[in-house]
Amino acid sequence: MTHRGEEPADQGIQPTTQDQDTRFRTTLLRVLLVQVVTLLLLWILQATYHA
Amino acid sequence: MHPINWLIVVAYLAYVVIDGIRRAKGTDKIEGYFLANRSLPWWAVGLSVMATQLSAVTMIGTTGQGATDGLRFVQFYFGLPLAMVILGVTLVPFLRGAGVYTAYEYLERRFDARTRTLTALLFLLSRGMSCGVIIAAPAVVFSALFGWPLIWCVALIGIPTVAYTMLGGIQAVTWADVKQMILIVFALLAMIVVLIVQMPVSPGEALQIAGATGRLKVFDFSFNINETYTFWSGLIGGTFLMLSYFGTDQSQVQRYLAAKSVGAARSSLLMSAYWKIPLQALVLLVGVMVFVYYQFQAPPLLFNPAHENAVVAERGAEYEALQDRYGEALELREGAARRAAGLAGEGPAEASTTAASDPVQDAAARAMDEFLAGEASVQAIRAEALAMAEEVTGEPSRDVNYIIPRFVLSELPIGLSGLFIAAVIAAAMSSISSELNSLSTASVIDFYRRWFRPEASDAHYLAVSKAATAFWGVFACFVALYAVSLGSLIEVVNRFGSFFYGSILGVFLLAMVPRARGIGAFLGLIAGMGVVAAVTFGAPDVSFLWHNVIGACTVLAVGVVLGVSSASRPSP
Repeated sequence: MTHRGEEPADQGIQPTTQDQDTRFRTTLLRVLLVQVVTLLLLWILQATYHA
Repeated sequence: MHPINWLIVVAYLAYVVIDGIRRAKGTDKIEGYFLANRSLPWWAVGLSVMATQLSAVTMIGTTGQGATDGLRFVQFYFGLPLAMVILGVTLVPFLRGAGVYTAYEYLERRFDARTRTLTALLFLLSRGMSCGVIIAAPAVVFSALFGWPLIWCVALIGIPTVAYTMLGGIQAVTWADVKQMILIVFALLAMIVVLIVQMPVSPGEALQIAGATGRLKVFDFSFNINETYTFWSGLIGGTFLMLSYFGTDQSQVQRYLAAKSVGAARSSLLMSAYWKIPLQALVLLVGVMVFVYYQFQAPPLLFNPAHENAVVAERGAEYEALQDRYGEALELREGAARRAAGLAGEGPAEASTTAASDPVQDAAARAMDEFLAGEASVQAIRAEALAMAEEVTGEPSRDVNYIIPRFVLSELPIGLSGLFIAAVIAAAMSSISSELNSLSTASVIDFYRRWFRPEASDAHYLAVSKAATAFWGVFACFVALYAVSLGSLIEVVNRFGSFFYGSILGVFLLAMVPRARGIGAFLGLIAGMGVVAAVTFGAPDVSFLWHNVIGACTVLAVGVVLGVSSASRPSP
């Protein structure tokens, strides 16, 4: 783990590693999937009952 | 309220305070008091994050909004899951790695002391006042419902919260949040079950009635920056708002700084990403179901009992005549609702605009037409009563915050009413305690330790932290008392918050630009707030959700330009 606090000021974030990118993509996909299902259910509710 | 209900409320209050005091034993160092020695499990932090965001306003205001306006408010949260993932990947490992107590502390390491101090000051001012508003909202409702002086209601919520937050620090706050969140969700689910059981129509028919009045319309895909509750405002503006709130507001940042690892901190945020939209939909659905329930049970003409009493005392005869008309309109609407519900499965929910050739479908459409006409006349009489209440009391008479509490007290079985009132107090406490704890942290770490006593013992900082918690608690209670008499203060607080929220996010985003410099961050922050202020007053129709986008983008633009120009300038 990079301890940003120990670095001198005025430096930006280091680029993310390959590992972090993969983990990010997996998490993003999982969260998006759950949200799509949630929104789909809300859509069905609206489509079925909304006049 | 029945004594058993009071017993539940008192038992809950006593438990929270005793449990908080019990947890004070482990917090004899400042890191334990503010960050629980960075030892909390992800699920506890996750529930605490959700409980902090879910205040009493959600329990009584958002449910009421569900009853009057339906489910469309849920679009406000569409950006939250994305914001949580972005924060989990960027800011969380960043702030955890920096080993800071506050988000603003990091800004000094990245930029300079003035940027840190300004952002921390803005946080203290806005959160201090909003904490008062969070106490005021349920206190005003309790005062009107139970006829107690407002100061008692403020004390009922404020004193126990300040006590356990001051004594137990973040340990007490987080573990109380966990229990409070469980209580809140249980109360909401119990309400849904009771509503379904007590309703004279089936759940499907209830939804048909709700849908006919537009209350099940969730999605609005129009792109209009003047509208807050649209898909695009929620997704784009909401993402920026949630990034600002969860990424830069110390009341949230402190939660995941207290987690035992970066992974635990990320998981805690993802809990909100998964559950916030379904939970918010549940909260709104409770309101929608209460609306349907009141199609078959006569609701009060005015939901605010204090206003009702004032109108009866001053214009009794006029109000009585209005009530007679209201009674007749309710009877007609109920008959139409029963017919519409009975025929709901036989034909379309739409009114007679649909060409119906089948006699059964035709009857269903006609019944729905009659129901909608009945609903319109009931609402028209309600509007007359609200106008009368406004004339008599001189106060805004919108009574959306009283719909659910009145329903709870008059319609729910003994025990469940007490549970719901305890859940409302729990929701208020969970937000207030987190805010008090974070206000104390920012006061001590970003001001006291930074500018006044950089070298002092842990015992000294701990004592100052407890005093700071007490100070902010008293401050919030005073704001709560004044927020009521100066009604517009709530609006001022909200506007003040929207001026800088996006701009502070912009500073943190700028921190990720390698070339950005302190001068760019500081001037960018001021420019961001200035532009948002100009938009707020110059184009008041623009929804506040877009203020965050505008503020963040302005800071980024100014910061990058100044960073590039200072980097290209030759050194003297």
